[in-house]
Amino acid sequence: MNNSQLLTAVKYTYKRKLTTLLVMSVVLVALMAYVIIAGSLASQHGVHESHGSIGALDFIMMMGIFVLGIVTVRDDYRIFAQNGLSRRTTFRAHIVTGILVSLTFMAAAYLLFLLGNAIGAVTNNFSVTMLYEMMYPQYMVSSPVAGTVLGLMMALCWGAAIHYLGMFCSLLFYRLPRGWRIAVAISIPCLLFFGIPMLSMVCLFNLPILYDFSYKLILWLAASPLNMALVAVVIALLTEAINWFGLVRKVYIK
Amino acid sequence: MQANFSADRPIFLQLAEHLEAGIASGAYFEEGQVPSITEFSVAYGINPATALKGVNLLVEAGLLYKKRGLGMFVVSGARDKLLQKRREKFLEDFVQPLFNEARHLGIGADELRQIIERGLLEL
Amino acid sequence: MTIEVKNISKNFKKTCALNGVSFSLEPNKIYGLLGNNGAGKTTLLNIITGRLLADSGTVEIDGESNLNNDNALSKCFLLSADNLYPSDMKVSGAYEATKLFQPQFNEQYARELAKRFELPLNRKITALSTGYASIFRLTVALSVGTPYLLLDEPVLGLDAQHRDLFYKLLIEKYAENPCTIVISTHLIGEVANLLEQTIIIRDGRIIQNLPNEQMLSGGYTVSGPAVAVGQFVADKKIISQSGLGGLLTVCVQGTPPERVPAGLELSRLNLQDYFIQLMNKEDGQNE
Repeated sequence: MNNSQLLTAVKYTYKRKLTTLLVMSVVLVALMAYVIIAGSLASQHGVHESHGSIGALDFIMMMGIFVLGIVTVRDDYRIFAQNGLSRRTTFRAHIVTGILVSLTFMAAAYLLFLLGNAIGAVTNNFSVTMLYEMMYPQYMVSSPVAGTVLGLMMALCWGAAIHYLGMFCSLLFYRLPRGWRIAVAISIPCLLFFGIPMLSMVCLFNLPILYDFSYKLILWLAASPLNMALVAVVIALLTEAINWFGLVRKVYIK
Repeated sequence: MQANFSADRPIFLQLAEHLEAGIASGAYFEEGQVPSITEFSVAYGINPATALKGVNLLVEAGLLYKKRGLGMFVVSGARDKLLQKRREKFLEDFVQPLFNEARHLGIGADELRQIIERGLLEL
Repeated sequence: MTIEVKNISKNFKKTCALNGVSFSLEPNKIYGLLGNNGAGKTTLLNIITGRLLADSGTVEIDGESNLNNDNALSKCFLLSADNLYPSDMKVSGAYEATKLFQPQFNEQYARELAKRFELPLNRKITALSTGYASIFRLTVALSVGTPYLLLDEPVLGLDAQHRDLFYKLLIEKYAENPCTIVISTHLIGEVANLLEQTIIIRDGRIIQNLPNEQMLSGGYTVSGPAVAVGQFVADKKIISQSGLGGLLTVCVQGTPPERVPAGLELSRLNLQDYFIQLMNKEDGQNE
C-alpha cells in the first residue's frame, strides 16, 4: 500500500475543484450585490418595499458539486493512469475529495449566508436562506443552534453523496454502449418527472402497507435534519459501491 | 549517420575499424582522447552497448585505454602497432584480391607485371 | 529489476487480442516490440501498465503484481497515442502534474527539450497537432526517469528531422541514465541499430524473442547473377528469395563462408527484411 500517492492524488483533484468553488462564490457574491443594490435603488425611488432573497445557498452548492463530479471523474482516472496510480488509489482519492469538497463548499455557503444576512439586516431589504431552514422551520424555531449544526451536517452529507452521484452518472454513461446511453438519457428524466410520481400515486392508493410505510418515512425524515443526513450517507455508500464494483474496477482507461 | 554502416559486417566491428582508421591516420593522436561511448552511439544512432563492444575490441588490442573519470585515450605507440598490423595483412587484404581479379579478367603474369611497373612509375 | 509477463491472455468480444503471452524484460536493455497492425502490441503495453486488465495471466514488476499496485505501476511510463491529460490542461500544467506524481521527473530538462523542439509551453495539449502532441509526450517520456520506459509509436507524425533528434536524445538518455526501454514501432529500419533484443508478435502470440545479434546472425543474403547464386545456395536452406531479370537475391540460413565466391555479394540480414520475411513465411504457412 502506498499512502503517499493517495495524498498526492487528493491534493491534485481537490485543487482543481477549488477553482470551481471560487468561480461559484464570486458569482453568488455578485448576484447578492446586484439584488441588494437593485433593491436599495428601487426603495429610494419610492417603489414599493422590495425584499430580495436568495434561497438555499447549500442547495445551489450541491448543484455545483454534482456537475463537478460529472466533469472531473474521468479526467482523474486518465491522468492518474498516465502517472502510475492505480484505479484503487484514484477511487479512494475521490472518496476523500468528495468529503473535502463538500466541507469546503458548504463552509463557503454558510459564510455567504452569514454575510448576506448581515448586510441584509442593515439595508433591510435582503435575506439569504439555507435549505435546512426551509425544510425544518419548526426545528429551527425550537432549537436554532442544534438546527443549524444538524442542518449543516445534512448539507455536508448530501454534498458528498451528490458528488459521488455525479461521478456515477459520468462513469455509467462512459461504460454504457451508445444505444443504452440514449435510452437512459431519455428514460431517467421521464421516470423522475412522470414515472415515479404516477407510480407512487397508484401504489400509495392501492397498497396500504406502502402508504403506511411512506407516511412513516416522511414523518421520520421531517423530524430532524440528522435523519436526512443518514439517508445521504446510505446513498453515498451505495453509490460508491456501485461505482467501484460495477463501473471502475475493471474499466479500460484510454 | 546510420547509412554509414554497410550490411556485410556487424556494426561493432565497423566501429572498431573506423576507430583504427582514425588512429592510423593520426586523426586520433596518441595520448589524445577519443569520443565517449555516448558520443559515438548518438552520432551513429546505435545502441551504446554496441558502441561499447566496438571500443572494447581496441582496448583488448592494446590500442585504447581508459582514464578513470575522463574517458578513452589512445595508447602511445598505437599508430605504429596498427600500421605494422596492416603491413602484415597487406598481402592478404590487397595483393591477393589483385591476383584474383587478374585471374578473373584473364590478365596473364607478363601483362600484370607491365601494369604494376606503370603504376610504380606514378608512385 | 525485471518485468515478468506470464501467460497473458485478453479477448475483446469476439477477437482474441493476446493468447498466452509470456516474456521477461531484463534491466537496462533496449527492446523492440514489432508486429503488424492489430497484432496485439498496444494491448500488451496497456496491460503491463494497468490501463487494461487481462483476462488471465499476471504481470510482475520487480517481483510485485501490477494489480492495483501504485508502487509497481509508478515504475513504468507508457508513451502512447492516447492523450490521457485533461482537455483544458496546458503543456506546462502537464509538466507540473507529472512532477507531482513522479518526483524524479526532471522538469527543467523537459522544458529544455520543449524549447529544442519548438513546443509551445502555454498551448493546450488537445490543441496541438498530431506531430506536436507526440513531441509533447516524448518530452515527458525522456525526462520522467522511471526504470521502465515503454514507447508505443513514439514518433507518430514527426518529421524526419524531429525523428532523428528524438533517437539521438533517446540514446543520450539511455547512455547517461540507463533504464529498460521498449520501443514498439512500424519504422523498423530507423530503430534497428538501437535495439538489443526484439520481440515479435503476430495474432496475439509471440513468434520470436531473441537478442538481435542472434536473430540476425542465423542467416545472410546472397545476391548476384541467377545461375551463380543458384549454384551457391543449392546445398543451403533457403529462407526466402526474390529476383529481377537475371539477378537473384536469396536469403539463406547459416553462417556466411570465409571466402566470397566471385561475382556474388554477401550481406547480413537486416531487421526490417528479417521481419518482413518472417511475416511472409507465417502468411504462407497459414494458407
